[in-house]
Amino acid sequence: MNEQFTLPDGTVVGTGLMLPPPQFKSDLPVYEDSGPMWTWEQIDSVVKAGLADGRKKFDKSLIKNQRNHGSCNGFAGSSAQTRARMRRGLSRVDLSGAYLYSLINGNRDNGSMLDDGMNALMKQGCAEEQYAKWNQIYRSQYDTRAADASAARFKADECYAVGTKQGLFSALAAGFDCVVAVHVESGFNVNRDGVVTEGRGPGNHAVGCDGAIWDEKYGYLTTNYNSWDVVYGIDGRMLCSWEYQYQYTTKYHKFYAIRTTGDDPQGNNPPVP
Amino acid sequence: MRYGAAILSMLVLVSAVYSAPPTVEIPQDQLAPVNGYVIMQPKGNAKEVTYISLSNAYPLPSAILKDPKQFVLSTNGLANGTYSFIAVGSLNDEHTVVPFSILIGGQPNPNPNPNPNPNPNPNPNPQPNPNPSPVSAVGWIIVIEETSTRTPETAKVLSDVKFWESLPVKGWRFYDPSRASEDATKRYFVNMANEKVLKNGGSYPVLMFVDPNGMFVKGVPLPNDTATIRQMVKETFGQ
Repeated sequence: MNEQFTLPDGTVVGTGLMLPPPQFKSDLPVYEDSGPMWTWEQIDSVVKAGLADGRKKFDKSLIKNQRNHGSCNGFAGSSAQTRARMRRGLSRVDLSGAYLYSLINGNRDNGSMLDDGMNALMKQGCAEEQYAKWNQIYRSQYDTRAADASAARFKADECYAVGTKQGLFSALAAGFDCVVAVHVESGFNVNRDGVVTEGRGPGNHAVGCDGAIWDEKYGYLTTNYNSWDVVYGIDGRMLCSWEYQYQYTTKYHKFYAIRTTGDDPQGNNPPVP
Repeated sequence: MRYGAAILSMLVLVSAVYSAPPTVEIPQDQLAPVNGYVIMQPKGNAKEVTYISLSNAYPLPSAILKDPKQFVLSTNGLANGTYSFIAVGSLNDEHTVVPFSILIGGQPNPNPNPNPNPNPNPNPNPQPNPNPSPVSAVGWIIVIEETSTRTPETAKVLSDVKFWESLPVKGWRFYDPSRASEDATKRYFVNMANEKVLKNGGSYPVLMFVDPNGMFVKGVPLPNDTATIRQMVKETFGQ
């Protein structure tokens, strides 16, 4: 689905998360089974201390713009991968949301599934932004050989499906980037606290999470970045919660966490004598 | 007649200026590999500089470089040895050829003009420094950590991106030891942690300091606070 949303400045932007078919069964490894989950006390010790706030780690220059295409999943995944690399000490390389989307959209601008985005990030990687501009969402529109060579340098290494509130906040508190589903409808703007309190649908839009905070009024919130430029929300960001959004969308979509990435073989890596 | 001679001499002078071969100077200090690349910016007035390989090592094509005069050679995968090249500088159909070579690995050739000091000082006066200087030039920080067992204490340190970016080091990198066999760099540092830091027991996460050439300097269990790490950087690398 590529349902359209109108930003406060009148710009129309796309969404693009596809509902998995009823018989679909995800084969992704499960985050909650991949290691000991943190207790809520442990999560508190990091999140309530303000140490997991993604807004303090990544500035608005990283916010992207998918414009009117249904490429949200590509943009969320590529942006999460960009951040996951930076967390490991790799240099900032802006990766192409359009490229990732082109790998998983079946040659139609009708959205894509989170599962497919995660698998593509691990298996094929994501090309640098210059190889596939925002509107080059089909493989026939860019130099596939050059873009694929670039993508092979930028792969996610360990990704896991996240299915519970504790798992999601455990991953975010630990410092892992996540990609989640939200449901965009007419009221999907942030309120004066920067929180989105609408969107109780099955999920039609993918966004990234780069951290979590605790708020007395709202409880646990994820720090999200959208792909609708900085016009949306507060500098392109919003805060979401399990109660307002994820408890509905997680029934249909497999969120995922990127625990680590590969090195760029051509990057500025530590020398090996 | 006098004007004619003057014009003729000016033409000769201008012609001489335009026909002078271009200058190309290869900065020798840029011919060493750094982080897997040799990147050299030639000096001189040549409008274009083309590089010809005389060995089995090929620089990146000029057409894909921002500055086509630059020389960029990836040294990953090159065997140790000396690689020879020719730089051809061009200006107004005049050309200058400058050979140069790059040493990969090993030691440079011994100094052909040794200058032994025949007058050693018979009265040395050593003055030991009570504050020993850092043990290494500024190098890298490497953390080996099993991400599946990351604890809150570790997360507080490792997820502070701004802190790591602020360290005055050549670079920093976190590696998860899983599937280390698939990546040579990761494997090298995981083996280093196992052999140098964990040989007598202990477990990840491990913090290591390596010199600019990737050689082990020291390693410890990852401290639980960033202040300790910053202090260790200062002690190790002097900054």
